Amino acid sequence: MMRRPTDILGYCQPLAIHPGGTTELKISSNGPATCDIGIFRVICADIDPNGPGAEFEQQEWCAHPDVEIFHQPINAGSYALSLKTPEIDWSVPFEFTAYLWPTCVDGGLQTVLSWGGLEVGINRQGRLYAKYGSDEVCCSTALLERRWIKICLSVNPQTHRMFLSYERQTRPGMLSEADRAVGDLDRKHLVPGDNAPLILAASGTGDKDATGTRLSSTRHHFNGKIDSPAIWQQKTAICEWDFSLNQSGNTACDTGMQGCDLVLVNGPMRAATGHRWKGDTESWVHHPDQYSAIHFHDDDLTDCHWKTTRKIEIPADARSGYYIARMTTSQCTSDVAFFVSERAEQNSDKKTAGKTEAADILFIAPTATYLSYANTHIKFDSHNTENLYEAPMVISEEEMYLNEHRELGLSHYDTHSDNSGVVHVSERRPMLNMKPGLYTFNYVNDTHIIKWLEAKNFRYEVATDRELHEHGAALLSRYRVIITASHPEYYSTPMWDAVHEFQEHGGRHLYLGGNGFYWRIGWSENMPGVVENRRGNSGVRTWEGEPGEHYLASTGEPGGLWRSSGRAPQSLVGVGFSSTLFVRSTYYKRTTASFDKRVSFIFDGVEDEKIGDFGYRGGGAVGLEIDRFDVHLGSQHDAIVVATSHGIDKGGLLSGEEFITTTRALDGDQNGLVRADMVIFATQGNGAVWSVGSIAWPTSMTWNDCDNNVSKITENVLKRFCDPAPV
Amino acid sequence: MIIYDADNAIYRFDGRCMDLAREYKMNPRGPYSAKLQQILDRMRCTPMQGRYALLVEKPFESFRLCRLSGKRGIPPTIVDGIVYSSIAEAEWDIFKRRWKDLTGHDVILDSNHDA
Repeated sequence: MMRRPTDILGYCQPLAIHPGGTTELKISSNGPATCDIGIFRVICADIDPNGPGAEFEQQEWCAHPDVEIFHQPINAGSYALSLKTPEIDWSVPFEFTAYLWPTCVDGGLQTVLSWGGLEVGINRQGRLYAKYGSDEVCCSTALLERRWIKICLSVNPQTHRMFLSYERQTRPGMLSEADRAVGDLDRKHLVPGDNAPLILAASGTGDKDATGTRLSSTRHHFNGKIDSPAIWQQKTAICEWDFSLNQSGNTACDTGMQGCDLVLVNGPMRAATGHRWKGDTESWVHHPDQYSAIHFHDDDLTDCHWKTTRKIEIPADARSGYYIARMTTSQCTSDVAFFVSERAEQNSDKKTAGKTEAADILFIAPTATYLSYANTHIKFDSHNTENLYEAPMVISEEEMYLNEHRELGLSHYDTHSDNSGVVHVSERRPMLNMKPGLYTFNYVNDTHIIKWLEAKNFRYEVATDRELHEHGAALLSRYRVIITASHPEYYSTPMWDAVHEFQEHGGRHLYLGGNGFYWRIGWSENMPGVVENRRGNSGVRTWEGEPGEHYLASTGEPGGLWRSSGRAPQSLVGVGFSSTLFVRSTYYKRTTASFDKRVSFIFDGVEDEKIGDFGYRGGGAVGLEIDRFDVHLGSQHDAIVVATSHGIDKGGLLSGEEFITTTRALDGDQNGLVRADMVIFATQGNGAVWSVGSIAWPTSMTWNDCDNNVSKITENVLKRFCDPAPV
Repeated sequence: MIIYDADNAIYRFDGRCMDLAREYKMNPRGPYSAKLQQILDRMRCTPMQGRYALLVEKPFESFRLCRLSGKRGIPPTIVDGIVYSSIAEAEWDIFKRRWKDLTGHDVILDSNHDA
């Protein structure tokens, strides 16, 4: 029986598709059923009856009635799988060795190595064990969490004995024996390894799929790091996996004699400090030998691998924008978001498709940010959430479901079950807070901009972060104006560079948000739809990365804040993150400089002293997260601050990177850095940038049917920016 | 690694100071006096296990009181019979419950105010 939206879940692969392309809708239900599938363009996803009004435009080009749906499982948890089964002489003694850094020894059974009947792992008492056929040995002491050990299993079929031992590593290169166990082998046991796949960090309970690169099901996932696993026979490395190689890939290289490379499933964390890490480097690029570990988690997920329910073919003349596939049964409705995105001009694209020339305006849907927040569990897992929002947590049905169904994958704001931070998020899974609904941060708020653009009859197109990353300035160059959204927080280097290049070649840029251009991310080249993020030593974070693990495995660049890499957001858009302001939003007032005739057009038709003392988020246009101007952080010397926030009280909290020593007076009542600045500056070739510095700005634009001073100011700037005359 | 310490909120306050409870009742969304802010900070840092929260029963219309389990994957426990028709109503009730839990004193305001 289907009664709730969570009874039907789905995702589109790919998340964004260009006009004329095809995306595959993959649906799972809690039991066999039929549903109708309709496609809608999203004008406004805000379902609040006291909001601006939800608005969805049904598309006639796609309708699928009576579609049969069924349950599709998710196999979460990362592991490494041999592409080719190693071959050894089972009648001759052999050894398995590895370094381990376990992170969860008081949980369930965990498998480190599984190879047919051969198994090494950690039992429910936290002790190291090994099985060989029906024989088992187990150490007597429980392992310690987050301490390196070196393990060795030695099997001697000739003496019918096996030895299991481990040593503790106190410092790199310093080992002391900790425990050992000896057992007899049953002389009648079967040879365990023939043709069975070798698996690290899980046990396989199913077969390989058609590609041979994953198993249909796994269990007993290991939480923690594995470093330098190897199989030895007669003092020769049969297999010796070196995880310091191919860090950006999803295979692990076997440097032994058989070349039995491992494929990494569900995105375990690469570029992890290994047992040789001495603390004298933070870069796996510069010292790869010290990054010889992979961190596996039992709740990693990069791809649900669901079967396709329906292919959705996007007409070549379809408008780019926010879309949903709406699944409807007699008792419930559930939405799946996808995007129709512009991309850089292709030979076969618009001219042959008969589309008119591009609009002046491109809205960039910040899908990297949507992915980073997708399926967040902070209301359940992060103790500071209520304090930050200054109100008891209000939990939706979707959030309840996510709490109990961790297999749907985590957000960049979550920690894994072993308390380590989540570095990978994926679009290949249902995302329950990236669609119309009660979770308004980011996706829903951004559709206020779409609603406003429609209400004001601007011609615009939409591209997502992924296309910005892939096509860069070639995508942007055919537009006069780009609009970045309420919260474009996560940016890769190609994305940043594309926006900067656009600005410096005469492009005009409206930044209608706050806390933008904040974290440097990497899009994985080997795991489609996966975004990598590292939490460094600064910034508003719900977890902090381990020392030495702040560099992106996907790119080799420093992760963390752009500000920590010498590119504070101020250097791109004039303002950068200063504070959170999740309650009691406020307003702006014009500065004296705003009356300069070069910029006074911004306020044409606006007589009010207070700008944005209204809105759907906290009652003002200055709210949620806010940015400030600072030439010391890269703001342009010739930029003009045309308005600044007023009335922020204790609800404004200065971000950690904005102060150095422990201190008092960090709230908006007392600290002048807790503010939003509205800034405009010129760039080369008649380009210009206008930034509002507040996430709550767009949700004031739609106030009073888009008839208000925030709307008027935005309209003034957008019209002026669309005019080719110099700003 | 920074780990959440369930016992890091230690502020104590006098549960007989009804003027501060009254201040919250009159101005639930703040800004608050410094003393009331400290009390609210303390309340909002109660351990995750047993922390009050609200479940949306019907969006924008009804909310059930619950207590978080503090363990990932384990659902909250519903507090039987407590359903609110507004967030404001819920926040005031949770405030009174926490006041009692932390000080042992009931919030009792004068007859002009609903306690």
